[in-house]
Amino acid sequence: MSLDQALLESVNQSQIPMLRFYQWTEPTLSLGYFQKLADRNQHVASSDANCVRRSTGGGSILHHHELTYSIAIPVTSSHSGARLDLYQGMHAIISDALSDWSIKAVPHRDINHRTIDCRPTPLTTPPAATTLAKTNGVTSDQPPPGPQSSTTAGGISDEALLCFQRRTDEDLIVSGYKILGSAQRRAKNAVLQHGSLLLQASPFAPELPGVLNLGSRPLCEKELAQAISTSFSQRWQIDFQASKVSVDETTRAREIAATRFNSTSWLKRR
Amino acid sequence: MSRDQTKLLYAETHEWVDVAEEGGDKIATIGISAFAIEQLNDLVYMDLPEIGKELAVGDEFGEVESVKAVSPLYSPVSGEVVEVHSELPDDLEKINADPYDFGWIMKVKLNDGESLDRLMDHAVYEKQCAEAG
Repeated sequence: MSLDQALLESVNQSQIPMLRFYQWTEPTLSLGYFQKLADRNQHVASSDANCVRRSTGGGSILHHHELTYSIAIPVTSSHSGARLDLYQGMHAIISDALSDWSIKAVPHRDINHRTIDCRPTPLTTPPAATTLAKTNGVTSDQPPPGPQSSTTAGGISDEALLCFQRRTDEDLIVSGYKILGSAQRRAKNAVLQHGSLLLQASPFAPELPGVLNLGSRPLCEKELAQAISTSFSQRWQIDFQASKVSVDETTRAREIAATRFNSTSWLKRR
Repeated sequence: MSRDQTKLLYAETHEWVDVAEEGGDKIATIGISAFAIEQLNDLVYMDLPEIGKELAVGDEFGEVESVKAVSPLYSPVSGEVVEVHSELPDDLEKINADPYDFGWIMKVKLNDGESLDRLMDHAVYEKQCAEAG
């Protein structure tokens, strides 16, 4: 997260867009920027997970078996707030990429507008779930999540602690479950958007299935990241070049980590 | 008395500034414009600056969370924060209807008048909004 912030600052200066993918070495609950630390007690399953505070808003996210992306693009200072086109564009790209694995992910707004039944469908144990666990060297000690009988019973609410139990228009939904949520942070001349694509339910949030639980085919996160990059280039006519994080960006990320994401006062600021 | 938005000064980043003389000091009352509030779309949280904080033009003085984005607020002037609208973060829905009166965020004692020279009058600001909108 400190590197996301450092890259936002870098794009704010360079005006060159950046796309990054990463995963988490430890299961971590990230609080939305304005959430209260004490509110994490509402979610018992994640109580033993590490906790950080993001610089972006929205609900808490349990980062474990997920693919995290971040993108930063230049914007003008005369435009305020969220860039809706970035949400829509990035989520359409990820939906495209998921279709390569026969996963149908649709924006929540489409479900709303069609007024179809958006209750989560009961889950069965997917054979693909073990594929990811093996890839990551992580073994789930809990069974895949059970069925949820209704949106209410599933805890879905605008006030829910967890981001994945909230719904906004651009969230991607598979079989009634949110599998992708994103948030933005503005700088004067750039905007950062990062998002979590749930791959598999975590023992720290077993109520939230990922695409491996909901799909029927094995999926490799590196191939998925490549498919997203390719889809991005095609849709937005941007030719990404692979590049390493610069020494300056790494140094800045360490500074940001020290003052924010690794700082107790940052975590406890609310 | 309602603040006349056509008499205010504006920053490129959409903060409005109302300058008045108080006890020999120039005090700038600062908020964010109706255009910015519409773009931000449903403010849900706001952080205010601390009283006594020294600000230069362009410094971040607070943050707002709107639908799906956290955005910094930038100081349009240089000076010391002498008052903040402490009720505002708990009553943010009112800022949508009343950005220029109830929606004031902070008052800054100016340490120079030069920072005002970079600000736009209402006509120029409206043109910027039309181009951005």
